[in-house]
Amino acid sequence: MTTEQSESPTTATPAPRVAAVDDNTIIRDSLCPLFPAWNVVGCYRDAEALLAARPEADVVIVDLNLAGTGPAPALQGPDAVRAVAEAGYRVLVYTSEVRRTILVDCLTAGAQGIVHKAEPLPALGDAVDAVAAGQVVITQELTGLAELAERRDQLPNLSPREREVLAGRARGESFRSIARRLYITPQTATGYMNSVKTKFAAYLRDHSPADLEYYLGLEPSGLTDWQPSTTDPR
Amino acid sequence: MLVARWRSGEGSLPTTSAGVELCALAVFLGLRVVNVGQLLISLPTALRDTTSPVLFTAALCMYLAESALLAATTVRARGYLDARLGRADVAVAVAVLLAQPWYVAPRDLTGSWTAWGFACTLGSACGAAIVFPRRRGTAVAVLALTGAYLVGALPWALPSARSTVVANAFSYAGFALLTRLLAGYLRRLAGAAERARQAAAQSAAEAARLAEIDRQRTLLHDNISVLSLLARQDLPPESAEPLRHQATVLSRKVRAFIDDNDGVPLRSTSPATTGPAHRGDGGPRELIAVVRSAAEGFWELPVTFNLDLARGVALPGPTAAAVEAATATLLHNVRLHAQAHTVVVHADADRAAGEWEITVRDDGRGFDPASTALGFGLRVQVTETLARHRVRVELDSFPDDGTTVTLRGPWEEPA
Repeated sequence: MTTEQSESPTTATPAPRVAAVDDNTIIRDSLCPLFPAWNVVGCYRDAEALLAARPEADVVIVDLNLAGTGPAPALQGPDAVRAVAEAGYRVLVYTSEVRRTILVDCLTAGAQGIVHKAEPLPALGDAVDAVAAGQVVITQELTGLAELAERRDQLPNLSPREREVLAGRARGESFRSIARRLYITPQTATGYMNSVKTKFAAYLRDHSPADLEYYLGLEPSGLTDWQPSTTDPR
Repeated sequence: MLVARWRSGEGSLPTTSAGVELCALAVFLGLRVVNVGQLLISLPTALRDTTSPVLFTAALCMYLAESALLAATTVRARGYLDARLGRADVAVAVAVLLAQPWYVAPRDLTGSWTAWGFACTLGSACGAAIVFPRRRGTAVAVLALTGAYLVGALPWALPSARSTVVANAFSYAGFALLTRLLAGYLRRLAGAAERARQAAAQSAAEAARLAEIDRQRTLLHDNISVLSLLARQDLPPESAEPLRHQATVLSRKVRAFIDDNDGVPLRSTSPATTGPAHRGDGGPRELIAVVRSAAEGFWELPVTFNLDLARGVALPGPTAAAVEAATATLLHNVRLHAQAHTVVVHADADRAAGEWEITVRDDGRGFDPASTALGFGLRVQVTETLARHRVRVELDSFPDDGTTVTLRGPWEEPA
């Protein structure tokens, strides 16, 4: 479970303003000491609290399971992602969820990035920086799904170089390795992949899970197993 | 047995040193039989012309008796190897030659079958070239035979026939020299062949020993990572169960290996009890299922599977078993050596090219393939084993930038 993000250091930028939605008290309270470079503007136990507070944030980190120990909030999973994204925030999903179906739903709902909680902490820091800079961050599983979409002619606007870089990343290849193989710089390879992720995220936003199953030739098991809530969050 | 070998086209005599001795004996005795046969055919004429039928008969009987005794003894010994027999044969030949003037008329001393001693004792010269191990022994025998022939014929022959006698006398040396040349060469050839066979047998034994070591190393290689994990004191409780399952599967493989080596299975090992490693004994299997089965038990490795592109690809049973074992070995290598944070197992298939592909990539410490010898697992358990199933293996690694191993095999869709 890895996160597909840039390996090149981002240029010096102001500290990102970060808000977090997580039912885990320890995570909410530990963001500041763990990431002193961030400007943590608020931590909330559910999406409703964030939307009520409306903090000024460049990135909102959202957990998918917000049940906690009290009464379950109305917004959970991709519904919470959609609500936060539609409020104008850049959403970075921070989750233990590994089912590709749910993760696709999150991107469809407007998330700009996904990071697994099992990954080392620097992965979260890099992902926040990337999302704050307007880039898309996806997991290794979703990189594989992007390759599947490309091979099923669902991403026709990819350039040949972008296809080559995507194929390497879907196999777990590092940007350094891709750069050596294609005689380009790692930064150039990273740029190609950023373009792929942006196009893939746009594709996901335009297609329902059922479309994906149909067009990608996936078995009708997972991509429709999430039942969106009909509750209006606002 | 000799006849059976001859009928089978294999050749009646083995191409060994013993075979050469039998061949030499056959030539020697065959020559003697031919001589005796010719002698018996011309016997009426020789008896009519002899000056002393009694002496003629006595000499002939002595020669035949000695020949029969010589044949019996050498056949039993399966070779003309006893120098004492050689000396006795030469002695009898010398006696026959020296006695000839007493029962052959001077005009007949150069006749082949009236003075039969010359024709018959040429075989003794050939025998001397075979039976005496040293050239000196053969030379003495040749001198004795030549001398006896000259003494028994030259003074008694007619003047017009003396040149014939002298010319005949050289025949002993010529026959002995050629026979010794041939016998010596055949003996050296057989010795070289035997040494070559011995070396080949030793090489085969060494190859078998190395193959057995490879089998044992193949068996033990994957156990290393499991044992090293089991030995960890900080083993998480939730990890113990899958690890125990993997250890059980490997222990069954060891059991099956021992049973196989014993020749007689100690217990039955049905597919249901031998675990994932033996699932490929049957028919074709889905490539995706093979890969997932190989990864069972690697609970602590951060493995991501991207396998959708290989959906629909099926591998023949034996190939599936080999690919599963090789993939598991690659993951064992990652567990043991890579220190990886991420591992990606990717599968792909190209229908147009008729080829499938599995990639195992880790982001671990990597190595320089140009300066690092491949380990046993990758070299034998993966590369050599898969080559037997027409699966190619490619390795790409770089220090501090991970390792990629790619398996590529033919995609043969069922008819």
